[in-house]
Amino acid sequence: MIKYVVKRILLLIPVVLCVMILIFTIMYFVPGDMASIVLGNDATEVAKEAYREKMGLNDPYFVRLFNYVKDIVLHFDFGTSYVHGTSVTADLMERFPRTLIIAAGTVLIGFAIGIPLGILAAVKQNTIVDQIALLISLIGVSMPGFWLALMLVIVFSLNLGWLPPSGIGGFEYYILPCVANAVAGIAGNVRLTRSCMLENIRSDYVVTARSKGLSEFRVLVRHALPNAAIPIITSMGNCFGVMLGGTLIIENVFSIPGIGAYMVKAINNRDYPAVQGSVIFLAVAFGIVMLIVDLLYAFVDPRIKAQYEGKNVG
Amino acid sequence: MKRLKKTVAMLTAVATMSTMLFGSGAVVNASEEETILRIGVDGDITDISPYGTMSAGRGYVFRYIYEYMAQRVEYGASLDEMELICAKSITEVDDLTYDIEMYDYIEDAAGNHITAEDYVWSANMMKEAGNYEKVNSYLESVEAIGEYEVEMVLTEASLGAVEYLLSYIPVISQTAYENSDDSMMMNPISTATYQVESYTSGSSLVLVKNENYWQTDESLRYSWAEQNVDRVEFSIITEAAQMTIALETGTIDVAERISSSELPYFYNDGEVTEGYLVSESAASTVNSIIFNCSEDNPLSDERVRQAICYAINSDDVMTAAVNGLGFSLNAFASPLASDYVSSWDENDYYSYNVETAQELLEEAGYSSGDLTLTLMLENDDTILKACQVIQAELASVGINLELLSVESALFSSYESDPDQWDIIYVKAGCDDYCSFTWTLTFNANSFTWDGCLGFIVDDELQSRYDAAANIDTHSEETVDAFQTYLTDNAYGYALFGQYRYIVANADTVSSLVVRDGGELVPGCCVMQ
Repeated sequence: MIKYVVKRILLLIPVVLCVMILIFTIMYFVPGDMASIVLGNDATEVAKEAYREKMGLNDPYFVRLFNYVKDIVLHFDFGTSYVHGTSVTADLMERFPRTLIIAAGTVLIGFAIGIPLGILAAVKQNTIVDQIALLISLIGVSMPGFWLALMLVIVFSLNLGWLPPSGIGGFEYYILPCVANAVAGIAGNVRLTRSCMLENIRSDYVVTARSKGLSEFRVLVRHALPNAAIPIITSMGNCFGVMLGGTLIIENVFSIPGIGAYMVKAINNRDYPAVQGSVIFLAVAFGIVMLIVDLLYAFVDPRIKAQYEGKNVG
Repeated sequence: MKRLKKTVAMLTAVATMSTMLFGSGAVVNASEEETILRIGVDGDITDISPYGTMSAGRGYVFRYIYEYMAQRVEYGASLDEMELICAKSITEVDDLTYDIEMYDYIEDAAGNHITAEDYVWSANMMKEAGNYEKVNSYLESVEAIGEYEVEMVLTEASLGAVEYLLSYIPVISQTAYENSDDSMMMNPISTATYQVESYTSGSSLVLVKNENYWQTDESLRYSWAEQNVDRVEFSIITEAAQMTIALETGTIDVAERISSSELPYFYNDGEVTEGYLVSESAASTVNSIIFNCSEDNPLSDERVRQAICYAINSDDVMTAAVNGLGFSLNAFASPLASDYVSSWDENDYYSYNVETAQELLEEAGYSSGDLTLTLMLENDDTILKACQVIQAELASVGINLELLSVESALFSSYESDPDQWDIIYVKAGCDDYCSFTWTLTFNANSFTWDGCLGFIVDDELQSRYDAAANIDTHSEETVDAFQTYLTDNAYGYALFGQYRYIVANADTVSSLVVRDGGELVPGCCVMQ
């Protein structure tokens, strides 16, 4: 198992290198003059040219690429934000926890509500319960995130005064963003869980479990759910990984300075180090999340665990 | 089952730990005696270092962190009308040379004593930073001629040059700057009335009263150096609806800027909603369009340009863009400029007239549908709404207008390319004089390409600009002469100006103090 983990971590290295080169190349060829943005419209062309020279923006592509890769690989230095003048690594580390909380909160809420509702819909297939669950999921998918976020703010902050409308601070500041972000996910999870469970609850092994006299709850949770869990875990991992990339709308609506807002602002400002640093950081984070997902497969399915350990499961 | 329980327990533990680690950020509770003013701002503060690039967010705060030699509290104030801050006296030696005597007891919040050498160093740092074009173009040198005396030499006797330099070169301690780990990016040492307590980029800035403010003689303090509140907490709230909600829930006391779509909650038909204070002030920005007059462009024909001006109803554009919360312009200048000529208000400035527009187009040889033009604009909801109205109005005279909406980085690249656009939407700023707006748009010397923003190569336009902008020839006549020539040739067309609104919660704030241009002076506000 450890060998497998090490192998996966080592595989991340070429992936990250490719991402580095790709993002650097894309940013290199994207039109837009960064000197004008950093120095402002008030700056002279002479000042802009001096700035380009100072920041090495006039250097050839390969020189800049080499310097960039060297700084990251040898010094783990993503460089300094051209716009803010601060370390990109420090900026990312400051913002990442906020994005992580939103991502974790969103995924937890999404699955804590979506999975039971999906199981219920599967067990009560074609009944009114199933119809209600599907209706809820349809409404959830259809509601735009920013609209729901504002509605939640109006109800829970403005009318009830229970939660802060925006900003960062304690745990309470993250409740509305996570809920607003999770609703669409809940809907998707209901549908996914329902379809996975429907496939399994008709299987022979479930019939066997029932015939052994096991309670329906035990049959579902002990036997059917673990077998239905693989696509759900995959979806959870993907969802979490995507969320780590930032939830721009939610961050904007709730004025949370997270990775998403940082990256979009950096793209608009042609803040190359910030964009490149963010993308590489997220590529690594996504790779780690996917590794955890693979390990979770082994946790729920002994056959996969045996494969990882190199055993013949015949 | 056991395994599932374990999984649930593990996930719960991870969630709890992450909440404990990251979610319970320390909330500083100010003591009850402290007066706190919480301000919502709509733009990122970005850079609070002394030589950082100016942005909307920085504009809200930098004058309460750094002190300057003198300050213009009104647009266009001349040297004699400026309020002295760190300067004890300023003597004009000749047209280009000024001797400045500083107070000998200036200290920053950390107790660093500031002398003439510090000011010389600061001026050079600002030149080196290169992002204040006027500092580089106006300032020849600053030299210490005594422990607390400096001599400032200008490159040329430009209109407002010395006033600009005195109010933009910060008086800071070299020692404090060099001791700072981050060039005062996040933790600047203040010389002004407030000191930065904390700054979270993209989220908040907390200023606290500088208890060691060097100017202890209150009779010598300038107008904005009040310290009526102990703490000023700026929160960055970019979403317009959230700004309204934050004000309504009492999360903030003042909204530094309320969008026109949200304003009716607080101010409608001239009536202020009970429980709020509203400050209305004209912004100096000139919303305008400029035509591409390069040789091969159809807009190099004056008649086509004039036809477009006649075809646009600027009142309709203003209504769509800012819900009518603006004012018509009769010249390519802001009425806030100190040299704005009041008789311009009586001018007939291309009053909406579709028939005249169609006649001019026919005269120029264009039938309906012949002309397809591209209007380039920067990504912005307000600008887009304005451009959509222009598009519809030009369609009514048979001109097809395509909108090219681009982000700011592309906008600044494309504006120098005559093949990218035919008309460009510009929000030109104004700083004291009309000539500043024209510098940004029609002064060929401000641009690296031939001509100016509209690729206009016109010696007469340039000579009239030079006359209006030069300190020796600047007069009502020269300013008027430029404006008249500009209008006659329709090189650009000013659409509208807009108002800025600051809204405060009357339960917590009893009076707002707002400076020219509509920005709040937090330390001067009075709390209930």
